[in-house]
Amino acid sequence: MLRTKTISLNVFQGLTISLILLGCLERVELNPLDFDNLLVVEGLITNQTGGGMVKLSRTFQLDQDNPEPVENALVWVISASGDSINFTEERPGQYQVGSGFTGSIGERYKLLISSSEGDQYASDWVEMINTPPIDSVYAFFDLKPTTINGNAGSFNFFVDSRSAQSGNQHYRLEWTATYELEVPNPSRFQWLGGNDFIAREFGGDNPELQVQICWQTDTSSQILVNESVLPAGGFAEFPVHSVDSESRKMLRGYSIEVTQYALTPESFDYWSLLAESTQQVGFLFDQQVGTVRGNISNITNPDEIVLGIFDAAEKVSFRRQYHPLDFRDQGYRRNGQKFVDCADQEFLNSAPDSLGYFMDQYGEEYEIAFFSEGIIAPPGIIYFRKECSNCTLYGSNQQPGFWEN
Amino acid sequence: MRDWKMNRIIFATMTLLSVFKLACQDQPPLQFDFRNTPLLQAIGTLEEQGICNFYFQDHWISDYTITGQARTETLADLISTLLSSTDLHFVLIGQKVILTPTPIIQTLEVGTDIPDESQNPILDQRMINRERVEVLQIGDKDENETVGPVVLSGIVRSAESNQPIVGALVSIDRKFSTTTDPQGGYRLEVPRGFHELIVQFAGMKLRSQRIEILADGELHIEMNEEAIQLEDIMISATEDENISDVRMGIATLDMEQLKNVPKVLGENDIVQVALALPGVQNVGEGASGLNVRGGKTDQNLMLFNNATVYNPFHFFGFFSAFNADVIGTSELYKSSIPASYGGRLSSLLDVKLKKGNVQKFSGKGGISPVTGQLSLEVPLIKEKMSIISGIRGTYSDWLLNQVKDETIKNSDPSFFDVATGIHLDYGNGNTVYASIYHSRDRFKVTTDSLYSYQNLAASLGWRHAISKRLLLQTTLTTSQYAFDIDYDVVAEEAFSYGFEVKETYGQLALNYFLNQHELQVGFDSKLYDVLPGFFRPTGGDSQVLEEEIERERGLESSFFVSDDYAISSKLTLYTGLRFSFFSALGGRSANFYEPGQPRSEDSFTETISFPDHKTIQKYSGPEVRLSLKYSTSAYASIKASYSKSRQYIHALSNNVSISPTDTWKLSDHNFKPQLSDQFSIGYFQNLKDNEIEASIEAYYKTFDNLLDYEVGADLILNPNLETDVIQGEGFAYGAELLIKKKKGKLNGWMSYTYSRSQQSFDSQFVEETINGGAHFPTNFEKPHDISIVANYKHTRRFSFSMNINYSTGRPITYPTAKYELSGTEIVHFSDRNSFRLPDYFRIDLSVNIEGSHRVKKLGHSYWSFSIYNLTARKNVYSIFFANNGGDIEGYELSVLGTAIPSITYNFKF
Repeated sequence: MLRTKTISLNVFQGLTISLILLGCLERVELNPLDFDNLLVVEGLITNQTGGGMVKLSRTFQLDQDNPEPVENALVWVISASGDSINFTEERPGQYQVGSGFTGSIGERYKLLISSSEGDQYASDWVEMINTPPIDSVYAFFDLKPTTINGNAGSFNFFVDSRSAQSGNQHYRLEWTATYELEVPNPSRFQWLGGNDFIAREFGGDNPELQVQICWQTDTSSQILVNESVLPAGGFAEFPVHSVDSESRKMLRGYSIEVTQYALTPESFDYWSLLAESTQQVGFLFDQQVGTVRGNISNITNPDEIVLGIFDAAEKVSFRRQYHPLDFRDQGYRRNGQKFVDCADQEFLNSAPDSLGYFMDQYGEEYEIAFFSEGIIAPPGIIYFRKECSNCTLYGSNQQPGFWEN
Repeated sequence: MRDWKMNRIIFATMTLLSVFKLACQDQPPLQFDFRNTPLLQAIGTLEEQGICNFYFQDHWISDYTITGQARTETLADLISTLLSSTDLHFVLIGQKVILTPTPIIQTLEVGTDIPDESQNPILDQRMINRERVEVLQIGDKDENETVGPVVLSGIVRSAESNQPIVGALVSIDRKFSTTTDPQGGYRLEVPRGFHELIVQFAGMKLRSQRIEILADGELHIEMNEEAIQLEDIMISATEDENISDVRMGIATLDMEQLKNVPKVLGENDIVQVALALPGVQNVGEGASGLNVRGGKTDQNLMLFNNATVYNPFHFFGFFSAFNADVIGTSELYKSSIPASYGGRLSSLLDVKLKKGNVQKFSGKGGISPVTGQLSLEVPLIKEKMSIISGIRGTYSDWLLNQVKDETIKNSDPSFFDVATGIHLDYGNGNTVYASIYHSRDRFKVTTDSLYSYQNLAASLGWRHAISKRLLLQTTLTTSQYAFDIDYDVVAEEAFSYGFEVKETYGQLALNYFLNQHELQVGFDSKLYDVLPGFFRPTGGDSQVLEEEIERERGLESSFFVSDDYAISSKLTLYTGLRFSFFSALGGRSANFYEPGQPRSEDSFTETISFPDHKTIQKYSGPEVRLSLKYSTSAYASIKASYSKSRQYIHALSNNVSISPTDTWKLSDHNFKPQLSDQFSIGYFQNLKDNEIEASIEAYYKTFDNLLDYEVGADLILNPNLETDVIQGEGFAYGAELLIKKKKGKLNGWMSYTYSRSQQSFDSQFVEETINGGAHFPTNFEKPHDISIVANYKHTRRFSFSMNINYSTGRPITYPTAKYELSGTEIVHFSDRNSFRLPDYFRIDLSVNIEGSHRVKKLGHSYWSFSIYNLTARKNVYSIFFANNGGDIEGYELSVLGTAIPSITYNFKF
C-alpha cells in the first residue's frame, strides 16, 4: 500500500511551525525529574562486506550530554540458516562484525546480546531486504537576501528514488556531506618546539603539513524516513538536507553522499515515531507521546524496556559533488566571502632566534604565517590567530579519496 | 380586604405603585399605643385611623405582637418604632407602607442620562403597565366545567424585542412553577380562582399579574429589560430559579453577560463565558473544545437550533464559531440532561438562534480587531413571522501582517460564519421555524497548500398545540462537518486529503400537562454517514495514488419518556428514561480478529463485506435520567440527580486537544460505545432575598470504553484503525462552588472547582496497557480552578469588568531520559501524564462605554476596551522537546503570553 502519511505530516509540521510563531516560545532547561536507566541498542547489518555494527549504550540524564557506552558485552547475530556471526568491540560500546561477514538478501537474522552482568537480550527475527537505488541527488539554491547579505540563501538537497521494487516501500536515509574550506591566512611554517620549525609544503612531499585547505564532514543529525508515494513506487524530490549560505560551506566545493536503507513496515513505524517524537514541534495539538519500543527485548525479563532496534537491509549510496559555480545560474555569488573573517595580520618585531620564546608564550593561539627578513617589512614574525591560519581546526587536511578536484 | 391589598401590591411592580395615589390622611400627630397586640391587629388599627395603608403577606407578620407606644412627627418614624421589635423592613411610598421580611427593598438611583420625562416613552410604559394591574380573568365563565384544575398557558416575551424568553420562571402563588420552553411557552396546571402569576428572568424586571382563572386559558406576558428603570423599587422576592428548578448542573450563558466578560481579541464569545463557570475547562488558551466535569472534548453535544455542530470553533479554537448577536439562548447542561437529548456523555450545549423581531426591522453590528459582523431582523408578517440573519467574518488579516515572519504573513487565515432563521408564530403557541448555519475556516500552510474546515447545520421545527394540554414538537436537522488539506508544493505529489461526517436527525415529541405532571414522550433517530478519509491526486501532474477509506454508516434511534412531577410545593421529581439503539450499518467491509487476542496483523482473521443496510453490529441500552429537588426553605433547596448516557460516535484524536486532523468514528464490532454514569448532589441557597445565589454541587462520574491509542497510533487513512485504538475506563469526581451576585452596581460571580479525572487502560497485553494499567490523570485534569467575573456599573454608561482565572497546570508527559540513536539525541518518555505544567493565572479587564439610552434615539451603540492577560503572564500551554542539530532542547510554549488590548464597537438599531 502506498501511504502518504509522511507528506501530510510535513504539511502539518508547516502548519504548526506557522502557528507557533504566533505564540511565545521559550527555550527551557531540561529538568531531570525521574530517571529511567535503560539499555539502548542500535544494530544494523547490510549486504556489504563487513557491514554490521551494533552500538550499545545506556540512556542518560536530561541535563547530560553523552551516553555511557555499554562495554564488554557479547554480541552476535544468528541467521535462520544456522550461521552465527560474532561481533567484536572496536571502541567502547561499538561492536563491529568481522570482515568475513556479508549479509544475504532474503536471509533472516536475529541479534543476540549478553551483557557483562549476564542479562540476555534478543531481537526479533529480521529479514534482510533489498533497497531500491537512489536515482539522483541534486540541489537548488534558494535565494533569500538578508539586510546584511544580498546574496544569502540556502542550498536545498533532494533525493529521487523512483525505481522502487515491489515489496519495500519504506526507507531510512542518511547523508554525509564533506566540504572544502580554506583559511584566509594560512600558516607557512609549523613550529616544532624551541627555535625549530619546518616549512609547510603545498603539493610537495608532505601534504599533511599544509593547513590552508581542509575537508570537513557533517552527518545527518535527524532521523530521515520516507515512503513510496509514486504509483510505480519510490519517491521524488525528497528534501534530505539544507545548507545555509551563511554557514560558508559552499565556497570551494561540497560533496554529499546519501545512503538509503529499506525498512520493513514495523521498522518504518518505529523510526517514524522516533522522528515525530524528536522533531515534531508542539503546539495546540501536540502529539501524545510515550515509550517507543523497537524489536529488542530481554529474554529473561520481558518487562524490561529495551530501547533501539535491529535492522537488516541492503545499503545503497549516491554521491554527488557540487562546486559553487554550479549555483551561479540560480543567483548564488560568493562575493569574496572567506570561510572566516580575520583581522589584519599581526607582526612581531623580533629576531627569529626569539621564536622559541614567543611560541612558548603564544603557540596555543597563534600560527606563524611567515618570517620577514627586513626587506619588505622589518625583521620579525608575521603571525595570525589559529582560526585564520590553520584549517585543521575545522577539519582534516587530508583530501578524501572521493574528492574530485 | 387585607388579603386583597396584599395580593395587589406585593406583586405589582413599584412603577404601578407610584402611579396609584391612594388617599391616606397625613395629619399629625401620628401615634399608637399597643400592649401585646398582634401586629396584624395593630396594623388594622393604624389603617382604620386612616394614617396609612399597609401591604404585606400574612405569614410575614403573624408571629409578631407589639407592645409599646409612639408619638412621632413623621410616618417613617412611626412605622420604624412600630416594627422595632420585629425583623420586618419597610418602604414608604406616600402613605403606603410596604412590609418585607428581608431588607431587599431598595430605591434605585435615577439614571444619569434619562432625558426629560415629556419625551420619555418609559412613562408610556408605566401607563401601559398600570392598566395591566387589573385582575385579569382567564377562561370563559360559561364553560360547563367549573371544578377541578385548569391549564394556563402562554408565551413570555421581551417587551423591547418581542423575542420569546426561554428559561423564564413562571409561577402561580409560588406553589406551582415551570420554566418557559425554547419557544418561550409555558404551561401550568392550577386550581381555579384568584392567583398571583409571577414571571422572572435574569436581566428582566420581575413581572407579576393578579389573575382570576375561570377555565383553561392563555396569558401572554411581556417582560421589560431591567436596564430601563426609573425610580423603580424592585421587590425580587421570588427570583429563585436556581433553587426552585428541579434541574441541576445547568448554566444559562446569558447573552447580556457576554458584554461583561472581557474579550479575547475583542470577540464576544460564549465559550469564554462557559469557561468561567465551574466544572468547565479546556486544556489551555486557544485550545478547541471543552472539558466538562472530567469529560473528553468529544463528549459534548453542541447543538445549534437542535442540529449538531461538530467543530464550533474558529481559527483552531481561539474563538467560538457562534455569532453572539444572533444567539437567542444558550444553555449548558453538565448534568440533568433531559431524556429527549442523548448521544454524548458529558454535556449538552444547547444554542438557539434568536427569533427575528416580528414588529420592526432592526439590526446589530460590530467591528473588532479580528472580525466584522452584521445581523438583521426583518418582520415578514407583522407579529407573526420574521427572518433573522447574521454574518461574521475576518475583515482583514492585518493582525498577522504585523508579524515579521513571511510564513505567517502569507498564511492568510480567514473564517466566517453565517446563520439565518425564519420563524412563524401562527397563534396558540403554534410555531414553525427553519434555520441554517454555516461556518468555514481557511489557513494557508504555505503558499501552495491550504487547510480548511467547515460546519453546516440546518434545522426545521414545528411546534403544534394539539389541545391545551397536549403539545407536539417535531424537529428535523441535518449537519455536516468536513476538513480538507490541499497540497501542491511538489506537483508530482499534489494531493487533497480530507474527512467528512454527515448526520440527519429527526425527533417527534409529545408533551402532556396533567395536574402536577409534565409528561413527555417521543422518539428520535439519527443517521450518520462518515467518510473516514480520502486522499486524491490533484492537478494533472500528480502521481499519488488515490486512496479512500470506506464510508461508515450508523443509525442511532431512541425512545424517551419523562415526567416532571411537582409532588408538593417542596418536592419535585424528574424521571426520564431514554432507550437508545445503535446499528453499525453495512455497505462496507469489516475486519475481524481472533477473540481474546490484541487486535493486530497477527490476530487478524478475515474481512467480511457487509451489503448495504445489513447490520454489522447492534448496541442498545437504557439511559436513566433522574432529578430530585427538595426545598428546605423558601431560599434553599437540596437537589440530587443521576444520569446514564451512551455515546456511539467517537473523536479520534491522538493529541492533547482537538486538532485539525481529528476525525470521528462510529461504534461497530471493534469499537464499543462509550458509557457514563453520573451521580450529583447539590445544595442551593439564595441570600439577600435572591440577590445572591450560592450553590455547591458534587459529582461522581464513571466512564466505560473510553478511547485511547497505542503509542504512535496512525489515525490518518488507516483502514485497520482498530489495531491502534484501545478502550479503557475512567472516573471523575469533583465539587463546584458558585456564588453569584445578580444585581447591584457590583455584580458577577465567583466559582471554585475541584475536579479529578482519571482513566485506566489495563490489559493482559502490554501493547494495550498504559502506565502499567494504573489510573492516571487525563490531559485536562486541573484539580483546582478559580474564576471570578466581576462587573462594576459605575454609571449607566460606564461599566468595568474584570475576569480572574487561576487553575492548576494540566498533566503532561515529561521525559525521563535521553538516548542516542543514529547519531541523534532522542527523548525517552515513560509514564503518561505524571508531571504538570506550571499553574495558570490570568486577569482580564474591560471598560464598556454605552451610548445614550434614549429610547427614541435611532441607534444604540457601545464601545468596549479590553485587555486580555493584563499581567502579560506567560502561561505555559505545553512543553515539548525538539532535536536541534542533534541535541534535544526543551521549549515552553505560551499561546498568548502577553497583554492583548482590543477595542470593539457594537451598534444596534
